[in-house]
Amino acid sequence: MKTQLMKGVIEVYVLTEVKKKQSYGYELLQNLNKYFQITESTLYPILRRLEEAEELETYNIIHNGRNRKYYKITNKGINHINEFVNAWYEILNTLKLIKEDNPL
Amino acid sequence: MNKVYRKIKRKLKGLNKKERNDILKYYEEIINERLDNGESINEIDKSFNYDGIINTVDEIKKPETKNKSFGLRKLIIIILCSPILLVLGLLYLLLILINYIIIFVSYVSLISIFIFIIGFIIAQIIDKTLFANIVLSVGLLFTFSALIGTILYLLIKGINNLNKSMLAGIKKITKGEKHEKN
Repeated sequence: MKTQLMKGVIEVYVLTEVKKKQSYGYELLQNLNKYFQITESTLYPILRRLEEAEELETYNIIHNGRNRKYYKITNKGINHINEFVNAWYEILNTLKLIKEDNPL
Repeated sequence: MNKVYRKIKRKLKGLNKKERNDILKYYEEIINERLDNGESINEIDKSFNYDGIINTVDEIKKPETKNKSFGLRKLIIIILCSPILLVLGLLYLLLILINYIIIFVSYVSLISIFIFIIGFIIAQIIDKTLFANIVLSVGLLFTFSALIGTILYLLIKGINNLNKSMLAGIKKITKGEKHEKN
């Protein structure tokens, strides 16, 4: 369960990062590592899934003579962030109510 | 770079070519960025999570198992279309057979032309025809034979290529799914 939750959180984090600034794989990985222990192989399926879900768009830029794949958020991606955050607020409120009714 | 690249490639076995290339491009970009940021290839090799690539492969393969219901749908469509497919298939095979017959006839014609030229020369010599007439006739024969021979040769080559691509088509249809897995 924790793994699934984490995947969801990482997905939203990637979307949020790309919403702030269009970014590329390595940069995303560096930023993600400030919060999670994540490797290249964990990030790839996430980026791919978001791209296939049309929540991220990609384009290529030549940097130092090499190709760099940039990710850009779509409206669908923005909706994903909003839905996720709203769902979490609801869960937090529910947990708060449960805690209030059942003090430890 | 090649060492790391080779190891990653090995881990990507079982994926189709497009998937493999997409993933390799991603890792290549990451490795190059790491090199640009001062890491050596040995450091990258040591710290690289090669086993994690298996997770990437598994994640990508997951949707394939989800689409199992499509297999049944595909089977129903094939069964419903089988009378048409059967006729089309037989026509296809017939066309290949006709092509081979044309190739065979062309070869026989080429050999016949060669035998005819020799026979004609012998006949002319036996008939004691004038040398100038023999040279003229043989010259004309060679010209026409070369022309017909070239046409037949091109016909054989063209039909052979057509047959090869048609047979490759059958191979692709019959082994299509297996091919994609590789």
